[in-house]
Amino acid sequence: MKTWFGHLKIKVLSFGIVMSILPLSFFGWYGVNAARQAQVEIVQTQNQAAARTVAEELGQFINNLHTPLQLLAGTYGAGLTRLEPSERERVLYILLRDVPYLEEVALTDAGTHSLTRVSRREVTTGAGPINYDPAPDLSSVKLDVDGRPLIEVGVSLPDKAGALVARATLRGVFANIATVRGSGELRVHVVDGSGRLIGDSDFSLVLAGNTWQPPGPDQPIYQSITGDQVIGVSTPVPGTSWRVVAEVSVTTAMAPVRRLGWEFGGGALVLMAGIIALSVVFGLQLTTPLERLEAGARRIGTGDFSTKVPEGGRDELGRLITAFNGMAERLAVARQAEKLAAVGQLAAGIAHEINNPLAVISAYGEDLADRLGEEGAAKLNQEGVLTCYLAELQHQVLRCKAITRNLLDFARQGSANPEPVDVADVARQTAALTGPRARRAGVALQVEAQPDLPPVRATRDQLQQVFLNLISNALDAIEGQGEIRIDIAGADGSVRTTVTDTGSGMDKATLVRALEPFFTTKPVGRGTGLGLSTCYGIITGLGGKMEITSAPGQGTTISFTLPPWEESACASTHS
Amino acid sequence: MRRIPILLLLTFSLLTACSRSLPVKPVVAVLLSDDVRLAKVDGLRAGLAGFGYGPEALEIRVFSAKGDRTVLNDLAEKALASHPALLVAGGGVEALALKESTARQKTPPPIVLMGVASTVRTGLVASLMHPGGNITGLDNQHAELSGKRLELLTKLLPGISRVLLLYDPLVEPSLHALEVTTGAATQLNLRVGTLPASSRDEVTAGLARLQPGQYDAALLLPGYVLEEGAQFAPQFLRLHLPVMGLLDMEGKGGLLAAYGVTSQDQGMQSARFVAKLLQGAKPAAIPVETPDNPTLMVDLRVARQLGITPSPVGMALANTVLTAAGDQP
Repeated sequence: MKTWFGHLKIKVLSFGIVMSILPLSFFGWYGVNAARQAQVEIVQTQNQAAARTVAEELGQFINNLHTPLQLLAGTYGAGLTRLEPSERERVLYILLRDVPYLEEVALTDAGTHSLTRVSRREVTTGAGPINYDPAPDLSSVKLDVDGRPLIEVGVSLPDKAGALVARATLRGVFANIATVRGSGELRVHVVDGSGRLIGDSDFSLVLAGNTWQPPGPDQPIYQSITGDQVIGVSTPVPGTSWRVVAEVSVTTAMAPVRRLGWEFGGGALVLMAGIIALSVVFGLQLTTPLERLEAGARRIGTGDFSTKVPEGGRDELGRLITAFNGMAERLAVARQAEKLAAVGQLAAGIAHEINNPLAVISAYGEDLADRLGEEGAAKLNQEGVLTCYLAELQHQVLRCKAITRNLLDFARQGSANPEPVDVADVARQTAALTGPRARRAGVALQVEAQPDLPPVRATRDQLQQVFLNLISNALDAIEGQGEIRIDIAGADGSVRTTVTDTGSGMDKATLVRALEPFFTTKPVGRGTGLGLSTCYGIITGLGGKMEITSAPGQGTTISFTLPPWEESACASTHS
Repeated sequence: MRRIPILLLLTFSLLTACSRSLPVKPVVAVLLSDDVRLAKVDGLRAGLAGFGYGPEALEIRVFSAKGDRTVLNDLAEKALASHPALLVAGGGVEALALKESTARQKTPPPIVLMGVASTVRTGLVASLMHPGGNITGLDNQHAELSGKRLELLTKLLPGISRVLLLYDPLVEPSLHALEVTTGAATQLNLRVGTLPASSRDEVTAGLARLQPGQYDAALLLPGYVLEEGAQFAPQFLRLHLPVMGLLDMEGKGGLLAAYGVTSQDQGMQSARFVAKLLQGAKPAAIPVETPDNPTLMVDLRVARQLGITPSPVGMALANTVLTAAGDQP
């Protein structure tokens, strides 16, 4: 059974598809990948520029955090600590009012204890002094009770009389830097030295305590704090341990590459559709003539030599069809010649076979006529000569009759209706019939049959004819004592019969012509040359097969196999 | 029969085209107890426009009880029935009403607090960092800032020693603020008296029982009724009481000063929550924020009416000074 891939048109179509997909896929992948890498580099360059700008602005701003403190320290000098407490408070409240991102301002003495402290939220009156770090330039980021990140900056008063210390909220700081908020699709984060997020346009991310994990050195794409896949870079903020991280989501950054991919994919699909259509057209052009040739060859195989495959095209296939049709015509002629030759051979055989008895009849008739004229009928009758002549004439006529009967048998082969036949039974019966002749000739005739063999599809008379012919041929082939063995056995559901003799055997030239009608090696008058050809006709007519193996001096083995009897098959055959 | 798939394809294409040409505009339902909080909505609109949610991209429906607290729960149901993408509470009582309404929902819509006091203490959120549930937004720190208000009152009027605290015993943030203020009063060495009032009549009656000179100043603690402080100005004047209030009361009408975050700023800061939730964020994962920059407003017109002059120390922090013609700020 032919699988779907066994069709040449499928193979041609598959070849077209594969040869269109593979190169397109490879070049598409290569092109899109190159565009993707280029886009990553472009985005990284933009990110780097943005991160540097923000870092510089942020660094400048952090540096400027000291400015209002320095101005105050410069204005009042060490005398600030000697002002009345209410006046110090007023001055510090003014500072708090004018710098919106400051949460708290304190004036400390030389020992870093707060002399005066004002706050936006806390009640500082009566709260007692607080000990500060000695005038920190810039503290690390601390969190207040609400989780807001704060930093502390400090400026020393002249003569180290004390210091001004301020706490600033980073949200307030970043709110004053427009670039921190990013622009367009760019997202900017600020992280401290430990990677903790301290500044973002989305302050919820800061409050949530997110931590930025720096990506590997050659890893431009990574997962951001927001959970998105991003292309990003980071750069340090001058004067701090902080870093500014500039990121663009991969989805956004790769939109042009994705668009390119879609456009390329669309074009590739159109191209592939075209290639597939061409593959179908060329495939059909290639396979349709081949299929017609196949059908034509099958018809010729059944004997229909009138088959003509439609011609077309000047290519190799067209020339092949022309040659095929020419071959079919020549085969038809040869078959006709062969038939004529066969008829001629048959006629020659019949003529040859009948000519001899006819010649004898003619000679006897002529001689009898002469003697009747010379000696008279009464004398010939009296001497028994007339009876002898007539007996010989009858014998020769019977010989002619036998020839014509064999011809009729040959012509009738396979015409009878098949029936279930026990091969072993027919073989034993035929052996019994021919047993006396075999015994007289000193030949042992044995029939060996496997038990429980199925009946075969045949007719009893025809099968008996086969056994009779084969046993008769074997007896004729054995000179002196010998043996004929008939073995019957099952073979793949069929029944195989082997008739082996210890006769003289056949050479190759004889074996080739053994099945030819009227071919015989027997002396004239003993064989018509129709025995084996009749057997072959009967066996093949019953759907069986016949084989002959023989060698000079080694006897002959003739095997034939007959299909088992199948009720339904035979019923349909009958119907 | 062959035409059916083609017709289906055409119908699908038509529907797809229509859906593209008519994008669904999300609805945000805002619940207010009073129109006095409309300033928060103005701030919200301005803030949302900055996030790309202008009127063309977002519909804001305001459900205001117009001062009638009894209809607040019904309004909350109506707001919920309008199938909003999310709900916004203008204050604490609105947040509680919305929380109660959405509690019955299988998948309740998010609620954004547009400036609400004592959010943890009232049980609206589990904690500021991890609010949980379907509520997040802005805690305006009104209760926590009450102590600072009292301190600033002493900075404006250094000579005061007896302060009247007006609070609403039915409002949790008011009780919270009372605790904070009482503690601050001890630290500031002040004597405080309290006037509990849950209605305008109770405020009026309470003030009527007081005598001029009984207190040196008064402090309004956060509470629904006390937001209408302006209408009690005649009584305050009669009692010769300089009053410190909350800034989101707009500090108008009879108050000497107010400290806090303006309603406009609260609305604007809340806009980012709305934008994030509209973009699919989960409210439970968004920490509740506090305002950064409370500001002091002083009304010198009231000071002149009362015949007092605020101290320069307190005035030093005043970002806004309301003056009449001829006054020196």
